[in-house]
Amino acid sequence: MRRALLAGLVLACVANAWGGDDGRTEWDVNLGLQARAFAHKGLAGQSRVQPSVSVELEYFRSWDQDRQRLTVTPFLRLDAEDSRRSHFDLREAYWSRIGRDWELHIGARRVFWGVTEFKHLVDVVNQTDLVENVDGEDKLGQPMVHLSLVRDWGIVDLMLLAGFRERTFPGRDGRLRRALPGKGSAATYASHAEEFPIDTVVRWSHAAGPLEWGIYHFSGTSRQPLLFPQVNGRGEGYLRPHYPTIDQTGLEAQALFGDWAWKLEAISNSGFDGRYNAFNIGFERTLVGFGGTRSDLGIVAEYMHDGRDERAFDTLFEHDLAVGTRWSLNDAADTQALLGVIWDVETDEYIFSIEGSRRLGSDWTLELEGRVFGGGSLPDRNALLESLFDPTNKSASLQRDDYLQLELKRFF
Amino acid sequence: MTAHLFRAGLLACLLGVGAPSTHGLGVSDRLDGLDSLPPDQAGLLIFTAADEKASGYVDMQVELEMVLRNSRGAATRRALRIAQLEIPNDGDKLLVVFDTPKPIRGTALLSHGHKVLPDDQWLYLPAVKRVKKIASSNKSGPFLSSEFAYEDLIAQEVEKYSYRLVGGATLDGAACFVVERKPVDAHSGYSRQLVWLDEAELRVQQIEYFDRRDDKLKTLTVSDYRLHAERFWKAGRMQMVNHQTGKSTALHWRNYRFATGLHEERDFSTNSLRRAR
Repeated sequence: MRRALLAGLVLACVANAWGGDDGRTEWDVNLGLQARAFAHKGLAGQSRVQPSVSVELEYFRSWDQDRQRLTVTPFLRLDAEDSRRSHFDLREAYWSRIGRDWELHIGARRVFWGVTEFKHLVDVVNQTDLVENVDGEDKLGQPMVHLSLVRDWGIVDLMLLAGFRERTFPGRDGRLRRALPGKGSAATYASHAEEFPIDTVVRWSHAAGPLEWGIYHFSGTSRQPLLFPQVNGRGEGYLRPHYPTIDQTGLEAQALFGDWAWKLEAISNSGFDGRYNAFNIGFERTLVGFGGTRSDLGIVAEYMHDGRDERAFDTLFEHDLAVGTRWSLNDAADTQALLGVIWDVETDEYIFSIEGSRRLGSDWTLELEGRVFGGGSLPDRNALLESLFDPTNKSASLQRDDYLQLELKRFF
Repeated sequence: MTAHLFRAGLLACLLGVGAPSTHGLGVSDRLDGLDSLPPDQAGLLIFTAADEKASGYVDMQVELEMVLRNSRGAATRRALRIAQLEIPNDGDKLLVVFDTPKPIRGTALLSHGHKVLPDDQWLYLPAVKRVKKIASSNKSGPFLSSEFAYEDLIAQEVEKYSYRLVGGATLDGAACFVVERKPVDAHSGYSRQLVWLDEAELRVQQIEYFDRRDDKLKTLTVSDYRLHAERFWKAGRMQMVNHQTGKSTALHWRNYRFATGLHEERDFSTNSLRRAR
């Protein structure tokens, strides 16, 4: 039903768009060839090699002297190992009307909020496309009506989020998942509207001198599910997502002083079992022209805290320290790299992470990503359920998932 | 004469300066009494006059092709569009949108210039839908991996330098003032610059840049000036050569348009950055 509504909306807008003749039309396509290599076979014997291909298309048209715009961005990935990772999503399909000091967007969009590097606490609008990447930075398109007002005293965003997107989960043959696979289609909801709630967000953001900040309130269905173990008809275990209804207030703030950027993200969530608070706090220091070269070196340090401590079922990072370095070579190929380590100061679990990218010629990019999970122990096969919910060993199911990923992309 | 009475155009020094060919003051009127001034006041007067001539453009849009060459001459090209707005009593606002290479298409830079305070700059990364504020110390870093630093291109406010008229010279047959200017901001990558402006129209013809150790770092040559909207001299070509690395960057400016009806909230807010393309 949601898809049909969206398709109808898109068609209506397309019809409208073709009406104008003073506009511009742009097509962009990128094809991706991705290979993941894991250090070990998976807990359930999953393959050590995971190749996949992806295509993202973007159609853009503006008309009415750029006051009206249509953006449609379908995305498709085909994965050779994990059928759940083979998926299609309308990343964006929306119409915009741009006024002098306001703008209105209707349709599926992606909106990012936040300032910290290692954990995105305040980013609340879009559901995570977890099959794409375990870091949670890939998002599904969220249908919405979004009105944004630009005033002297800041920007006000009013959003009606119409329709709920279920989180994607890697399948039985997928890697980088819990010991049991999640099953999105089995999801249950606290809201009577189930998959078609209308969630609301109000946000105010502003900048003054070296400071900038944003504060919002979200009321609706949580993007983070609770996960309940179940057994299917064939006697196989899986996790059933349950999406509670929450109220969440969020704050992000950043202060820039010379080389230093100080960052804060904080939320207060009405919670699934009592209200809780969480925050990320940290800095990034950028050394321009590091060591007499033309490259920039950034030093990042962040602390992540969740008031629920070990009971924070939906995050690995409840009392974790992260440090990293960001390299920008400022060369013609735009070579960049980010190295980091996140360390749980109480359980000693850690994640090493590397991300790098560069352009090859004018139309190709090569991206490298790798992670090493350590400090935790493997789940006990004889007590899988207990292992699954051991609060001091949350990364148990990732301990065999050290991987290196290469992705070659061609842009047209 | 206090410098803050005069507003400066972003890119004013590099994009050239405007001479009212049919109205307003001529260059000789603006530089009245130059000979009797001490060198620092003379230098300031020249730049203030050049800046005045470039003012009053209201808003401007232009397309830019950037050709980066390494020491072996291999070229990398980038295409971008720039929109710029005059803000009374403050630095100007600027939006830069990158069209090619395709992998960075839609990446955009927003700058709110200030006369004395550090400029505010935000970068939008379309792949992650993220707006990031850039630290002001970044001004000495390369702009888009080119031989131009951010500070060479953006926020050329008169107040950002101190000046000294060091003499005159002939460049390609044109009589020029040679003015030394020193950046006020400690985050600048330069100890000083030598700027050649032609006496006839006060257009920047050449700049030599000296690094913090006072070694000669780069030379910029500006050419193909044309008169736009009957008052603004704008350069068609710029060539920056880095003497220490042998790399160079050429800028080709095209399709200058003035008073196109740009609006502060609609076209220069962080919202407009997210949808710039």
